[in-house]
Amino acid sequence: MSSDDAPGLSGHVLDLSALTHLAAGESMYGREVVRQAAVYGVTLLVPVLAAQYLAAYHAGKGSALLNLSIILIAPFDSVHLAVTTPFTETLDRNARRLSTDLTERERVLTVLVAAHAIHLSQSRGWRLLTATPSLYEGIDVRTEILP
Amino acid sequence: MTQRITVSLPDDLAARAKATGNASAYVAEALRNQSRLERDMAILAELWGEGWDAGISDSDRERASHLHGREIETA
Repeated sequence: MSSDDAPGLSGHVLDLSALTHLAAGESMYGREVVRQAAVYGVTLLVPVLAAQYLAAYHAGKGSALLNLSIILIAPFDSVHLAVTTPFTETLDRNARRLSTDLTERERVLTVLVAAHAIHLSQSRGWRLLTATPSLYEGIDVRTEILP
Repeated sequence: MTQRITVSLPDDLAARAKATGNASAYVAEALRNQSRLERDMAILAELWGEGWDAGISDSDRERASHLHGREIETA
């Protein structure tokens, strides 16, 4: 299913931290968010790179989250490239401040997924779910924090 | 392909289905949604283990309901 075929009229966008948080079931709040989304048919929109990461590095149980009917994977194309690039400088600066434990590869992945997630959130008017809210400091995006 | 079956419904649900003008389509959609939900709950049980929702508090439910723009869902 493409992102234009959203099953529900409402939804939220997940960044990389939210996706891994939910896949691991780290918080009861996060579990309840997913449960209610399933009950009410609320879409959880996942940037394609985040989905690819989960499928590749959390194969098996973790990636089962992607099989939920409410999960929709948002593609990335040349249009997205133009609108997401301006976010990357701020995101990269925030990511460096956020954690010195991130490897270069992890930081780049986090930043690219976040840039896509911001665009999806802004263009649809949907909240961006994240476990790392400080990543979005200085950027106009509505976030919902996973504890 | 479709099959004709006879089902008995409580009065209120029968009235609701009839009021749509296409009771069969209404019931089929409800069954599809139920099937989808059962499948999703099975995935969550596989992902997080049986009893995965046992520790969800009322405040978690309220906050999630608010996020989804719903009336507060009680346990």
